[in-house]
Amino acid sequence: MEALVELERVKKHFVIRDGILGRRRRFVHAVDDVSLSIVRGETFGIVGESGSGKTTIARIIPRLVNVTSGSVKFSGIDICRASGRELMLARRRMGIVFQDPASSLNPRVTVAASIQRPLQLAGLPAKEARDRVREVAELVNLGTEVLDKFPHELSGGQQQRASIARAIVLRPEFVILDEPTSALDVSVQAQVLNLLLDLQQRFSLTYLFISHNLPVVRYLCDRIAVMYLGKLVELASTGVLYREPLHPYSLALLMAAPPPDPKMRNRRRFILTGDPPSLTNPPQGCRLHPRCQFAVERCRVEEPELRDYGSGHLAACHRIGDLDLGFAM
Amino acid sequence: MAAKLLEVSGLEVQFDTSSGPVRAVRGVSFDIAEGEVLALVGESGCGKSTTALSILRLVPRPGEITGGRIVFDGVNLLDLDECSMTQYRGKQISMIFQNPLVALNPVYRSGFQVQEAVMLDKVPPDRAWRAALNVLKQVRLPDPEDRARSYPHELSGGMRQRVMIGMMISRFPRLLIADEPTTALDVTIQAQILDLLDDLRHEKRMSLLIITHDLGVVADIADRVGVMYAGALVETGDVTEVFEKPLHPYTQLLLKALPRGPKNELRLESIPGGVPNLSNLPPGCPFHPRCQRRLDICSKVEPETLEIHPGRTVRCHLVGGESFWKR
Ligand SMILES: Nc1ncnc2c1ncn2[C@@H]1O[C@H](COP(=O)(O)OP(=O)(O)OP(=O)(O)O)[C@@H](O)[C@H]1O
Ligand SMILES: Nc1ncnc2c1ncn2[C@@H]1O[C@H](COP(=O)(O)OP(=O)(O)OP(=O)(O)O)[C@@H](O)[C@H]1O
Ligand code: SF4
Ligand SMILES: [Mg+2]
Ligand SMILES: [Mg+2]
Repeated sequence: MEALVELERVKKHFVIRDGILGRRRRFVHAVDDVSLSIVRGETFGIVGESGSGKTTIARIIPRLVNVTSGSVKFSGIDICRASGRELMLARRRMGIVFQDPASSLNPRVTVAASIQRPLQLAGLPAKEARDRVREVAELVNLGTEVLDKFPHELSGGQQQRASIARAIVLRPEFVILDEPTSALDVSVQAQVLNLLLDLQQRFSLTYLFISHNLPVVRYLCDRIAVMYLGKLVELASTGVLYREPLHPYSLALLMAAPPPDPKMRNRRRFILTGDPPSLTNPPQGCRLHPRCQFAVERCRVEEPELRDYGSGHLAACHRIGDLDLGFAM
Repeated sequence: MAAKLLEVSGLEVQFDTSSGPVRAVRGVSFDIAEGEVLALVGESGCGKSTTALSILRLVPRPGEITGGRIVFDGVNLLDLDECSMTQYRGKQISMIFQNPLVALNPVYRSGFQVQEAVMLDKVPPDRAWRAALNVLKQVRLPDPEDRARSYPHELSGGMRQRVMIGMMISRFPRLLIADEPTTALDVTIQAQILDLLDDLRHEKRMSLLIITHDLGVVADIADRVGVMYAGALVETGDVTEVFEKPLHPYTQLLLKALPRGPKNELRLESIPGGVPNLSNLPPGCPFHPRCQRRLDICSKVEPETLEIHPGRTVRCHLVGGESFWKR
């Protein structure tokens, strides 16, 4: 198994200023000491709390933001130290679908021109580029009449499909998908998911897939990382994570998704209680402890380490030995 | 039955584009009672956001409302002049937009924008600021005091969404329109936001029109559902009835397209065929080219809306119409 992307002890701290004239400086620990590797050909999912650093990781890999410390490798290339040209060539091998679909489309040009842009930059002749645009638009089920429109004339789902088209038009080997289906209806979502699977098989693509939609993540991903407040708290293959989650936060995520059945409306919900924690001043010990119903004294003082519980199932929680979370599912 | 707060009837919206008119909303009728939650679901691009924007009369140009009535609390909003309409926006009816970046101004701090909204009700600035912090806390924004001072680009996608939700509920509107309000939120926060909306409707009798692709959210919060396809409402009804006995073939397929397991177990059922082109709809039922159950009549005559019992409607030749009598 060859790793295509490797993050080692990556940290990213953003500075925020406040107080009078912004003289007080504080740090948001957006990504805090995360190591993970994405194997060639797999779909690697990241789920987690909103604001836990998922998008930041997605932006770190093509170096759209610089890391504070740690190392990032893409296909052996040290992204943090790559020269401008190396970086450009590496980026060409990656496609990115951003979380806000509108932001990857230029508002002043037509959708076709936006999708064509990466091809032009890569020096493809105009005629060939136009054919490729039409081909890729068909792949994502975007009608040709939509191609000549401007982004603001598109519905949310159409914008999202257009940005997927743009991301895959260069036939990259690695595609970062940040909430790529959140604006899609379930049928178009199904088409896009099936499309992603087909593309993956045909071109042996590797995906980094970020989503809040757990059934979708389960459907698509081979392995899943769960993040909470800048930390990786659990990593496992999909089947294992859904069958035997080890971390209380993973359990909360799995249990909180409302099932598409109105009769289950009043089901027992396992919701995290308490306020969402501060990001500039995260809780001591385990970051989940103020909201965790399993917390004991040790959780308040000592930060749990990420440990391997067998065949690459990693989790960071003090109480894994004592708890059997499977019961709660 | 509670009084109707909103009654939309025969709504028509058209965009005049260079490639011809796009009929984004075609004869849509529905109503919402006080304290009721109606969910609109449907194909991407079928006119849900446009329907919602029509209620506030905010359809962007070249779009135009070409027909119908939108009666809010006894007043047809389409008859009002722009100045009186302004009285309704924000205070009576407010809207959470699909894309938070549209609603949030990038050059102002997020808390300031909520404060501004509250101040529109003649609340003094310091009290408005406290109200803003309070509402940001209610929408579960972490570190509300800090985050209130952040610019939108410094927030994560889900935080921006929560700031917008806060801004829109800060004035306790009577009708809240929420276009995909929880797509950027993780499910634990989503659950808390749904609870918050549910509280508002019970305590403040707020009505909610929620647009979402997440059928789990619909099942969780809606009293009734409307399913849209190609600009028209093809099915409406009580949420349990629609989920258990969907009548329209599009609704039936929609419920089947949900992922329910890992990929190696099954391939997702998507609805075959392409999304219809709203500037050039097929004759007859707009769904017929993709419908596996179509009849001969389906490609010729567009079905009318049939009311099965009060509050339960469907627009399909399989139900009612000639074929119904022949069976
Ligand atoms: N440019 C920036 N300046 C300051 N803080 C930032 C900036 N970008 C991100 N952050 C902060 O970093 C943290 C992580 O943000 P990120 O966008 O990675 O979260 P996320 O996991 O993608 O969340 P969501 O699910 O809501 O999209 C957040 O607290 C966010 O406010
Ligand atoms: N400004 C505009 N100019 C031209 N056409 C437009 C404009 N805005 C929307 N449309 C078209 O109107 C139709 C309905 O769009 P609308 O945004 O209402 O769809 P929607 O149901 O909200 O879709 P989604 O679920 O993808 O958000 C779409 O086909 C879209 O292309
Ligand atoms: S370490 Fe303690 S507080 Fe953290 S998740 Fe485990 S039980 Fe909960
Ligand atoms: Mg994000
Ligand atoms: Mg929309």
